[in-house]
Amino acid sequence: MRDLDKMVVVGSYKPSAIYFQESDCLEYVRHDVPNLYRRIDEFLTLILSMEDREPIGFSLKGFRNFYIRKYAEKLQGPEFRNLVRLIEEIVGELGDDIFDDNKRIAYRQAIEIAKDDEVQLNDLPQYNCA
Amino acid sequence: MDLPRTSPRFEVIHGGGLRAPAWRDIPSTVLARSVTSRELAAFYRVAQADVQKALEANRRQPLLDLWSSVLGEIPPFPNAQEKWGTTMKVSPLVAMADAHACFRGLKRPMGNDDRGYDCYAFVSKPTRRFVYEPSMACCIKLVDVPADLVHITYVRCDFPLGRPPRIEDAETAGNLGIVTHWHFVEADQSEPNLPVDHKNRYRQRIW
Repeated sequence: MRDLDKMVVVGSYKPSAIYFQESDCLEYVRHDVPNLYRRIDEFLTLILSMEDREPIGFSLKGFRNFYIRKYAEKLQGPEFRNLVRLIEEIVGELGDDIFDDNKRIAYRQAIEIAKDDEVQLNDLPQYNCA
Repeated sequence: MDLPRTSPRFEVIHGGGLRAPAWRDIPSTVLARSVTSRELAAFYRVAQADVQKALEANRRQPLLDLWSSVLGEIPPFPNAQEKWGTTMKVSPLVAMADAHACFRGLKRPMGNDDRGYDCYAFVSKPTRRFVYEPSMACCIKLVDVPADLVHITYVRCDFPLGRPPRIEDAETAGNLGIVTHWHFVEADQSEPNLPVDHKNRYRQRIW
């Protein structure tokens, strides 16, 4: 009876990096499950599964700000569509701050998720040039 | 004289006559406490476009959390009201309106605001949330939220320094800002009703 109780899920979650305009965050999660957010610093928040507290994604905060200042021009190169490159750029911005143990581990976890899932940057903030 | 008769063309628009399911009908506003005082009430708009974007990728959890932990309502899925309505009358869901703390300043860039100074964080402590788990009875399931988590609803104010007098005097003041995002975070070990490291992650506590 338990098997009958489960239905095939129509329209299941397709993992992709989504830019949320109002919160100014670029988010990627592997699974659409109950989660919690762990703030690492002003740029990075890890998204953990509520059940086992394992990282399942990340949120890059202030993305529009960073994108306009540093990243928009670079996107002409296709390799910069890879989210790993984007996180590496943010790490470059952090400078000495990244040598804090917890931060280093968190950024490594975010890079591994982006690398393993080959996450691409397709959803970009819109902005008007003055 | 016979005029040439053109027969009108009918085209089928797939899905054009269907209404979106009620649970996807994202509420436009939420009633909660004011950012200036816990004793005052205020309306806030909801960032509908962002939720819609998540739904387009079939990411449903943000909308379920909006229904259960921001609005404090059972998501209007078929059978959900019948299944949990009675329980919720006895012990209602904890919503944004039940927030017990409010902080100002996110200390991170947010759009045009370099330091997120005009953003407020409402802290509440829900004990249950809904998850998407289809079964023969209902598409969602009620789960317990661990005691070491708190919920934060972020609001960006339209008039962070107070409303201009012209608007202040109007009979209908309208809404004060927009609910930009919401999520659960770990609670502080010494103050379990507040977010972890709350003294460093926000600029100041308002109430």
